[in-house]
Amino acid sequence: MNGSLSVLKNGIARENALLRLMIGLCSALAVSVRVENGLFMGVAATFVLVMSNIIISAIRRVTPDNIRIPIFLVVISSFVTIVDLVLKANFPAVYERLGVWIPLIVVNCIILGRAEAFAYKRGIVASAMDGIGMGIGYTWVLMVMGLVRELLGTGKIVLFDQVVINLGPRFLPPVFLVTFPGAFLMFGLLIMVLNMFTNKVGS
Amino acid sequence: MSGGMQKDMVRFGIALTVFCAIAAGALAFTYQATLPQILAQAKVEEEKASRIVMPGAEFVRRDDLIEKAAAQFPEFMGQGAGKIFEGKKDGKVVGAVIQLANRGYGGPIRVAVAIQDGKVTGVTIIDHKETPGLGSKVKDEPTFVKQFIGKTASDPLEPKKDVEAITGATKSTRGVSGAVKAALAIYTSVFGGATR
Repeated sequence: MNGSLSVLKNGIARENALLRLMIGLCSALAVSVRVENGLFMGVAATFVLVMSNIIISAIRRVTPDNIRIPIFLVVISSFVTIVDLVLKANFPAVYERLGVWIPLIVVNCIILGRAEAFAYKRGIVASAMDGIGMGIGYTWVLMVMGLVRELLGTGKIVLFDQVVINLGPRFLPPVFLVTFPGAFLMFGLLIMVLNMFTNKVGS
Repeated sequence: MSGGMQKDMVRFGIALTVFCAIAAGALAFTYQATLPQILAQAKVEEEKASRIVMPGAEFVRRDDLIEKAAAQFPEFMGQGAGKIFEGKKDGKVVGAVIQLANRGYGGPIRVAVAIQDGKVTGVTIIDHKETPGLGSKVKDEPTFVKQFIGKTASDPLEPKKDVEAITGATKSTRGVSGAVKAALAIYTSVFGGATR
């Protein structure tokens, strides 16, 4: 169990998909304009990641090597479609905002990457842990980026239609933070912070 | 060698077919399970504007009337912009909500107008592309649409006559007042002036 716990922790910081492996960036930069977007996108991607990791690990012995990629894609796109339908049915406002980024989880490198690099070679429990860890790592980065960009870019934080934090009318928000340059800036700063932190602790 | 390849082809084909069949089954199940909820959400979304102008009513979409209205008022109801709902309270028809579009300054202004007994009882702007800070006041200042309450088909609905225009945004004002006037005309036309 100790081993699978370290697998889980791996994805959160040391091998963080966004800040370390630097994969799956497009949707992360586009979606992280709001905390709420980050939360839902993160949960959606985590669900797909965990479920496809579990299934791909479970069927790895009956999957012919030559056609593993099409089979991975069938599994992944099925779970993405499930997420798509469930979000549409229960959170139409969020679904509207995340728009095309939900179906595009299918081609998110993180999901296919973990299927190929991890789940196809390891047991079900370890693969599930890897999915959870990678998912948490993805979600926290999206939410931190969303938090800073929304708070400083619009002057307030809105969660589930409630204004949670409001910096008031005297704060003039620098709008560029909610545009793409702001995303890159935030992303670079987060890489810096993570590197500073892990370099101190690690090697 | 070729025998081995053929065997592989069959094996791959069977494997892919089985996986796809399972996936299709799972998706069909999810689709069926979420369908009622998705349809309900779509209905809520479609009726959102109607709920604002006629609170507490149940709505029935009258597609049969929309066709007639779109033929008579193509500039307001054409190209899918127009919708007609009958509002019901306790099973009785109390009025109608007409959604339509009219040209503003920056683009079409989409308006929902509630009419009961030939009188406007509520107006809301669904969306618009008017200049922020000027024409956008048709939506941002709630008092603007309130002035239309009580208007009937015999009112002129013209700025400077019985409509208070927004300063510097005459075209936006005309866009809304024209839409309200058209809604009253459509109401008279499709409901035959009957009292409802």
